[in-house]
Amino acid sequence: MAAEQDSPDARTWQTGDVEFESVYQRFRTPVWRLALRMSGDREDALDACQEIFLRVWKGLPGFRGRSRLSTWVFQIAWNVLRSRTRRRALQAGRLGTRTGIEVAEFLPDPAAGPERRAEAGELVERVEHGLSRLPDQQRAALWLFEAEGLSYEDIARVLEIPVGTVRSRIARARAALRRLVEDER
Amino acid sequence: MNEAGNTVEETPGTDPIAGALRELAAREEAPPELDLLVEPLRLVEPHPPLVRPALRWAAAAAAVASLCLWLPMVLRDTALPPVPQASEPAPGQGYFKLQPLPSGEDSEEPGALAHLLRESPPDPAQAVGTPPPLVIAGPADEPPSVPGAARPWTLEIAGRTALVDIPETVKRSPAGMVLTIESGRIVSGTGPAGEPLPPALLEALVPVRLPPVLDGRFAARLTPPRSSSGSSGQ
Repeated sequence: MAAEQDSPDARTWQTGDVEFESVYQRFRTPVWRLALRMSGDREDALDACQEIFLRVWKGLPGFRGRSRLSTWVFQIAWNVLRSRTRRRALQAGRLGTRTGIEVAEFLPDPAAGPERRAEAGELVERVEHGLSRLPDQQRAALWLFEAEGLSYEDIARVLEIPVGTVRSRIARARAALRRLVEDER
Repeated sequence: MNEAGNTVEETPGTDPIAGALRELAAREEAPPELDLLVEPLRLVEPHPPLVRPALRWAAAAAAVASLCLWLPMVLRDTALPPVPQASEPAPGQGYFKLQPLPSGEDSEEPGALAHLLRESPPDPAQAVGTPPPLVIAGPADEPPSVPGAARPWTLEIAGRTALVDIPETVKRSPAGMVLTIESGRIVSGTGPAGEPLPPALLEALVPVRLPPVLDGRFAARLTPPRSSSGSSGQ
């Protein structure tokens, strides 16, 4: 996955001579998937991806390879997606005293459309639907771990939380997702 | 173990849900619209930062170091002289200008006590027995008074006494008067009846210095010297 794709260009990253095109080709799909998972809306995910890659483009000349490229890109992506989620919640006037994690529970459900619900018999569909209902941090941690193959340590750097917290959030997300999938049967 | 005490899988799960998540990820590809949105960035190379962070830190450190070196110099150059305390006396009040004392070297001053002591060192034997002959350093006799020379009179004014050199031309008799003092100087005076003082007497009184606190008009008494040792104008 992304972690495995990091290794061939390790020397190039350390010199700081990384071409944006290669970074974009490598991370366009992982970033898109994360944006779609976190925003829950295709148009919003497109806007978020544009903003993420703009920041990557701006920051790439200063990237010195002190961290893995995948960690660096996902960190940018997570910061952009988190700030957009907060901004959206503020615009909707629903933030109040709730935390960002709680806000995620109020995000629109991308699988809630009548057509999608009708097709939700398959496990993947149910997993996708259940995933959209998880809190932000749990969803991001589980997705980066299972779908993108990041390690606990890399996820901790991306989400800027301790490794132990990453472990517990993934475990909770997994348990909650299992419950949601079983409820959909 | 997680916070709830449950066992956490250390590797990506092998359960159906983990497999479904990976399958979901494999299904999704970035849409072509994203390529169109990012196209401008792909055509232009990003500009490297003009100043690297390390250089920025180095410049900041150099600025701080130069400031630390330069500031004490400026403060030292622009330091104000210490302001004298209000309680300190003004120069000349209560202080005397110190002069260097004669050194142990040969003194050129005639009649210096050191020179005399060197010329007649004390003899220990004589110190026990007869004392050495007395050497008189100064004149033995008072010089005779010169007619017309000034002699000190006693001026009593406002409970204070001052010695005043009065010319012999002034009549040698105690005299009462009223003197006007301004800034510690006698500026004018009259006799007890208001008659003007003789100019020679007034001229002799003008140099007298009195404390400034005595400013005003005061009754004064001028007394001639008691003895004249042979030179009497009487």
